[in-house]
Amino acid sequence: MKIRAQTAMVFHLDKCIGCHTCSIACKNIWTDRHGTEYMWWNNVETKPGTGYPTLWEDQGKYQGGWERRDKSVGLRLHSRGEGLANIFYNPSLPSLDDYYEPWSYRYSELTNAPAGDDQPVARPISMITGKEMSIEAGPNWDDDLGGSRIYAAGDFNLAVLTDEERQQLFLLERLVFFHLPRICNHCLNPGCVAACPTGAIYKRGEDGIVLVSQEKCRAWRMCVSGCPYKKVYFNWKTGKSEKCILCYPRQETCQAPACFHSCVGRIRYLGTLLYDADGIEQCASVPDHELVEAQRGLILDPSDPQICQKAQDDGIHESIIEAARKSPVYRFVKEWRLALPLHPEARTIPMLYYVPPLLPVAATMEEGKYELGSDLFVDQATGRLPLRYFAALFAAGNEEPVRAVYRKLLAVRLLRRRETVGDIPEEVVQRILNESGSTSQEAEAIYRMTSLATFAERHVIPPFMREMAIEATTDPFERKESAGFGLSRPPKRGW
Amino acid sequence: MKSSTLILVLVIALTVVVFSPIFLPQQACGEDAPTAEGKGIFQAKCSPCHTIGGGRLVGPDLKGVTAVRDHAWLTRFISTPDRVLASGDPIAKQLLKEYGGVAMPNLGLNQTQVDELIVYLAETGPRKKSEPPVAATIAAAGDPQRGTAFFTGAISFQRGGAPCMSCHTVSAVAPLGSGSLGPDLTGIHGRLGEAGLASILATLPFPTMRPLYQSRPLTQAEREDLAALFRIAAGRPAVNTTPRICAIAIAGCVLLLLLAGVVWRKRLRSVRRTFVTEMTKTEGYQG
Repeated sequence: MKIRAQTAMVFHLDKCIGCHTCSIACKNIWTDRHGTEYMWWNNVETKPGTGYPTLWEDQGKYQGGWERRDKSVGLRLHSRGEGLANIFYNPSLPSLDDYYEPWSYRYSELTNAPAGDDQPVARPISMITGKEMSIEAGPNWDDDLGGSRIYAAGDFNLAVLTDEERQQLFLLERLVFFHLPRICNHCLNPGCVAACPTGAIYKRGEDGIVLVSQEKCRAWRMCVSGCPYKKVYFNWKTGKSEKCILCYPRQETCQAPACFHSCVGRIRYLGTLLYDADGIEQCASVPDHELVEAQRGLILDPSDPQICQKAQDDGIHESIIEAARKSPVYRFVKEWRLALPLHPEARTIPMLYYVPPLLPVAATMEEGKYELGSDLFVDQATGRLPLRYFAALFAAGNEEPVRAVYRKLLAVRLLRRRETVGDIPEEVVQRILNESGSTSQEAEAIYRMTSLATFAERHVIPPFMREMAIEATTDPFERKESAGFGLSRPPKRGW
Repeated sequence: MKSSTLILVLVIALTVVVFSPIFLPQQACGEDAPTAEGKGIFQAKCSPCHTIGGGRLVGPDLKGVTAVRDHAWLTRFISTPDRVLASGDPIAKQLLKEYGGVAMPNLGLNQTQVDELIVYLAETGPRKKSEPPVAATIAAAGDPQRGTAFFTGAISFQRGGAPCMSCHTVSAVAPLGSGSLGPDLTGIHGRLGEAGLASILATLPFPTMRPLYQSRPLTQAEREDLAALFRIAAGRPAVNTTPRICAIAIAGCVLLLLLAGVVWRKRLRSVRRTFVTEMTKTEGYQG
């Protein structure tokens, strides 16, 4: 056993209102540069939908992640030989059109237009070529249900549903959606790192943040294809790949990452997990239906004294173990078993977990008025997106873990309804709690963490003591009185 | 004493005896005669291209040269032939023309060596009119086919010399020409004449070729075959292969680009555009 620490995340999808504040916060800090216009390290997708880039979940098209090969895993993208043969031509690369062509508007036309019969309009112009363009897609194209019959109907996960179920979903009265914010998953078994021919991508030892070295990157772009979540982007200006850095400079000064900090719905939780690095290969190579459970099994209990001792022996500082004990992520993922990994079938062991949404609730049209299902709080199958859809999204097709999550989420709702409204008998609540394998104490704790948790409870950032760590190699006063932003060594094309 | 030690001692003793002449200081023979020094220099530096009374090779027969040429001019020419040629000296120009444009290289001799060489040349006496030139001759029996094969390297030289094609070209031997380090040899027979060609092939005296062929000279048969090739080639016009190579390179480049375009035709195929096209094609789609 080799214990390591990982900064992991939980997004509670029931709380996401789809406001894109996270995306904007991220954009303003990190991707507001020439060459990164099309990048959204954080993006919010509307589901059902094809996402950004279009159909990113369809690995038949993009060849991201890993596939099982006799008791181990291999990159879906290529073997070593194929990688060498295709090194100058990566056939599975998303084009700019698959993301979207970034645009702005020629606002001056609004004020400078000559007098005429029509209202002046600001024409969209491409942020890359500067020429007029017609907008065909955007980073959140599914958002307003525009083109639903194409984009929402084309959702990759809908393939598991029957034709009838699919048609029902798109009846106007039943039309439902929920939001899925996505950032880099900072996986334990990252496909991007494995695909990089240069060794420019690495997983940071102290917290497992996956980073691209802007000095080593040689623009082969295998990482872009290798990532099943399409969360590595190519900067066409500098000729280097870039990705979410989980705001490590902010974390090193004990601030939450920008998207976490700015989240309006407070859906985001950040905390440290201890895991067994020796178990990664085994965990990544189990059959699909065992993936969620295997991933939970990899995470270790930081309050177990033996684990703590071993972690310290493996060089993890006591303060980080202490942070792991307070980690809200550990509670959501391991203790309460409420949070599930996104598309675990890519076998990268993502470290961003999602609490699947109880919403949306679909209404039915009866006698000219909208009706919600009558036993909405009892039956998880009524009036919601089918379980199989969520199983395809969060559990590699295994419905069991998803069903267990919904049972528990409903139990928490019922308990709180009994306490605040009081229209549900004690026995019913107790029965549901028992069925979900939970207790009233646990349900209460889940409720508190979901609804009332403070900023510090939601974001438990371990102290990195970076200021002390750099003293060995760098003069800590080197950048004193300098600007504090910009690039000290700007990335350059070339060898 | 063990037998193995005994053998070792014997071997060492034997080695010392066998190789001892190498380690002993060599007696310089004829050190008292300055002409001996001059003879040595002639043998080492001049004999590949010149004879004394042996007739014309690459350069003129030097018998009686001291009588024909002024001493000062001779000193100047032997020590710095390149500079004399460059200065436009009429005698040097005339000689260069006469001997097929093969310029004499700078031999790097110092003043003493030049003097000794001239003393040696003077001692050999004036040329007698009756003395027939005995130059290296070559039989006209060579096979131009084999000569071509030697030139291109299809048949290796017996003693392992590099094939001529590596550095030289001869018209119509290789369709795309060949090496351009050395001069074009198409008209070499016309320029040097039979005797010059024979002597050059025998000695290959040029600074670039000497280190390559000194220890791997051409055999008599090989020389005859090559000479036969050059004899035939002398009549051919010189061919400039550059336009041909350019045309082939451009055509090859276009062909490779076309091939790459066909093999990798799926490149830059947009997933989104394909997807939208497919979805809008399905029956019942109403936008």
